[in-house]
This record gives sequence, C-alpha cells and structure tokens, in this order.
Amino acid sequence: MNRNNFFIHLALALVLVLVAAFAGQLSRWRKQWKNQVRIGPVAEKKQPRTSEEIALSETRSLGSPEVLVKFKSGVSSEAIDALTSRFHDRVEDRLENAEGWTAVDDLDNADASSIVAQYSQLPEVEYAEPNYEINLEEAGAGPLEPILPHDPQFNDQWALANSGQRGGKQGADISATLAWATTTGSNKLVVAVLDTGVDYTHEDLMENMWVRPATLEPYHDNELGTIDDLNGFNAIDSAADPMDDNGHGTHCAGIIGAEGENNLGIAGVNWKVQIMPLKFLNAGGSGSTKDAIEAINYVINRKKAGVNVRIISASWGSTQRSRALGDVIRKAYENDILFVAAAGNSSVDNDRTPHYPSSYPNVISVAALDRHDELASFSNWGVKSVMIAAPGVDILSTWLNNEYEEKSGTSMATPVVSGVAALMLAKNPRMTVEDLRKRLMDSTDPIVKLKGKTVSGGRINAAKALE
Amino acid sequence: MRLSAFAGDNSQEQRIQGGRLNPRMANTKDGAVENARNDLAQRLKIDAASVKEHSVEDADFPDMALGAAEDGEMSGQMMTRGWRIKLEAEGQTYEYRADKNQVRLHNFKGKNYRI
Repeated sequence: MNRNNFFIHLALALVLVLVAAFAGQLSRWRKQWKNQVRIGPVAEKKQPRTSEEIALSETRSLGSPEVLVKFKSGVSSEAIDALTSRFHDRVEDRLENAEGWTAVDDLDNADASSIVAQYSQLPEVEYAEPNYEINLEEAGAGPLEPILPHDPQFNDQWALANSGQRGGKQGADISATLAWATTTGSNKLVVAVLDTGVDYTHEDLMENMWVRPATLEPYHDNELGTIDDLNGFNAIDSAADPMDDNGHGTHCAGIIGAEGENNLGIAGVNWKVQIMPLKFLNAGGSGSTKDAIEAINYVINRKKAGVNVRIISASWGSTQRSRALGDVIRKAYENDILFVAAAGNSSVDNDRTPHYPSSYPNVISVAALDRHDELASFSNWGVKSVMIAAPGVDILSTWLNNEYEEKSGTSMATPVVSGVAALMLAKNPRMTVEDLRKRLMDSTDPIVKLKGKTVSGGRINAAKALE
Repeated sequence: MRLSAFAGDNSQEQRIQGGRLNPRMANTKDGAVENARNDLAQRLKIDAASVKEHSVEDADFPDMALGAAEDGEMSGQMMTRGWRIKLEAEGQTYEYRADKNQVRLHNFKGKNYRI
C-alpha cells in the first residue's frame, strides 16, 4: 500500500466511525425525547403526595411496553410481527415462561386501553391487557396525611369522614381521607353498576362515566344482535340506552365514583374511575333474573374484548335462588371480576334465610351500618354468609336531574365496598379477585357488635385496605 | 365534555332529554288506594263499592319491590317510603303496598302481585 492510499483508507475509517457514533447518539436523543414527551407532566409535579401525583403512580416506566398481548397458540412470530407492524407497533419482548404472551410497544403513543381494544378484536389474540406498572414509591413514605376534598357537600358524607356530624360517632367511617393520601382512584379502571341504569349526564358523574372507545366495535350478541353500547348496556330493552329512570343506580354510581375535587356536590370513594352503566332494573326498581344474567354476560364479554372492567356492583336481590344466576356470577369470578352484592334489608339471618345473589359463593356480601357503627336496624346479617359491613344509612349521593339525595339500605353499603375495591385496584391493578377478597376481609376495623353477625366482624377500612 | 359524543345523534339527545324532562306519572296516595280497590274488586269479582278502606298509613318498605316481590323478581335493596293500604272485602283484610312508582298486592293466597 502506498502512502497516499494509506491516508485515504485512514480518512474513510475515521468518517465511518464518526457516522456510526453520531447515528448512535441520534438514536439515544430520539429515545430521550420520546420519554420526555411521555413523562413531561411527572417532572412538573412539585407537591409530594397530592392526589395527582399519586395518580401518576400508574404511569408506565421509561421505555416500557404499553400492552401485553397473549396470542393464540399456533400464531407464528412472523405473523405477530406483521400484525404489530400493521398497527405501527413493535414487539418489545416475547415473554419467556409465559407462552403466547408478547409485550408490545406502541410507536404512536396511543392510550393503552385503545391499544388493548385494538388487539383484543383480532382473531389471533386470546387476551390483551395494559402493562401496568406496580409502583413501589409509596412504600415506606411515612405516615399518611388525610386529604380533604373541596366538594361542597362533603361534610354531609359521614360514611367517608365521620366527624360526629348529626350526632354520629366520630371515626365511624371508612377512613376515606387517609386512603386518598395513597390514591384517589384511576380512570383506567372500569366498575360496572348493575342497576336501574345511571344518569350519565349528571354533573358530578359525567366525567367519570365509561364510554365505549372508538376502537371497540359495538356489542354483538348472537341472540340480541348488534347493540350500540356507547354509554353502557340496557338488558331490558337492548335498543335503548342505560339512562336511569329511577335514581337508585345513579345513587350507587355516585357512592363509587362521583367526581372528587370538582367543587360540585359530593366526592365518591373514587374521585376518578370509569362507571359502566348497566340497566336491568326498571323504573320501579325491579327486574328479572334473565336480564341480570344478560347484563353480567355483557360485562364478561366486554372484559374479554379488552375493557378493564374488574368489579360488578349489585345493590339488589331476592330470596329466590337461581342456578343460572349463580353460574354466571361464577363465570365472572373466573374472569377475574369481583362481584359485590347487597345482603338485603329484611333484618334476617342470611345463614338461615339466604338472599341472592349475595349468598352465592364468590360474592362479597355487604351488610349496612349506621353513623354510630351499629348494624342498621333493617340490615340482614350472617356469620357465615355476610362478609363485611359498610355505611348504609342516610348516605348522600347523586340523584336524577343533577340532584343529591340521602338514601338508606344495603344498596348503599354495597357501592362503598365496590368503591374501596376500585381504590385497591387503582393502587395495584394486578390484584386478583382472590387478592381483593382476602385484603378486604383482613383490613376491617373490628366492631364488637358485629361479632357473630358477619364473617369479618368489622367495618370496611379503605386506608387499611391500601396499606 | 362527553356530551360532544352525541353531537349529531338526535335520537340519543332525545332519549337523554326524555329521561330528564318527562318524568313518569307518579302515584298519589289517593290514586294508589283507588287502583288497589279496583284491583281487589276485579280479583274477587265483586263490585268496587263493596271494597272498604280499612287503613292507609305511611310505611318504610325494605326494598324497591316494597317487600312484595313477585316470583323470580329482583329488586333494589334500598329502603323505600310508601303507603300500606289495607282493604276489607267479604270479611277478609287484604294488604296492598304502594309508592310513587307502583302498587303491589302482598301475600294474596300466598303470592305477591305487581298491579
């Protein structure tokens, strides 16, 4: 090699090295920029332990995939790559020891629930779910300070914070204000309210209502045909929407998730959540077993289609046993959906006179307490069959026509428990139904007079449930 | 604002307005007693004038079926304010239960009826 050729080759090598280094840096800059875009709001938060910051505990970690997709057996890697490319996504990881599961990263930064819905509809996909991050930052952060919302009628919500108002017993509440220091809920979580429907236009509910994502096809049932379930499902008349024509379902929905800190009315146990309205009770507050089953099936199918619905709140019942209803509730349980039901208001022992659906296995049955921590005079009980007690007398919540009313019943105690379960899932979305049941039962405040009356012998405590 | 999702969907808007602006016809206490009287006369195949009002009192019922659910009927477990209407006919007393939404016959020959 002559001297000139040597210098030409040396120069070329240097150029190549520089180009490679620059390309690498570009890639790093691109990734950093993408992450900054995603986590921008996190960096701006300054106040520690506010509800907003806690809500951000659900955000994904830097560069983590958006969804986990389980493809059916027999779907090849090439086919998976082709499908993800079609959606402008990419396979982040094929998970070892989890056959068929693939971590998928979306390159368009779309909402995780939309991506889940997109994949769930593919015939090649068995199941898809958001890749939730389990945030450990809260652990060991020291004692929690109660958080009080500024909703104008909050002081009348003794169930959430009992200061002894109207002669009540101070502290006879679910410790909601302490729970809110951990989480005020998640708008990624869907709670189905199976009832008279919900007034989804109520000013204190409308921001927390589930709406079928544009990426999710209208509901199709072989018997009912295709139904536009934009706002939920009406089992009485599948052509109609699930607007409440009674008020009971709207009341239950408000207990679970009236928007908090919006300077309107009340705060729900969850300040933010998605309420899915299901109507099977008519304007008089009654309905058929068949319609209840149809609505529960709807929830199960929507979960299979990618909707993150994890709880069914059932503030109704009867003393008549239906094997079909029991079977569909078991099916919901098998699909990791918690079923919470009212113990009934006939002042009887459910161990002797069962009340359904609360007396089916796999159900969290709820008795009602008054503001003095006493079992409500009307409430059913059962040391073997009634799991837990929650406030259920003079409970203020949303009603039709942007109004608010106080109502009593195990109907009102039930959504308190559903709401607490929703907070638990907001904190840890990976909790199974069994985890939820165990934690709910293990985190009650013991009440002497409930001994021998319920399985847990205590009042639900939201703060303890979130520890 | 979620309502924007309904823009251009008149039927949906009408349904919402219908739910809010056109509340159902509500029972009054007198109207409920009248309905109960006519129902009992029809069941017993007697003249309504021979059905006598024994008592009508305000009452709290344990659920939204007024503690008188029909076979296979589920009901909201909310305490419900209404009226207990007792009527007499042919030497027997019959109990009806009513609220603004409904009138029910309680335990008529062992069964409940929504009328």
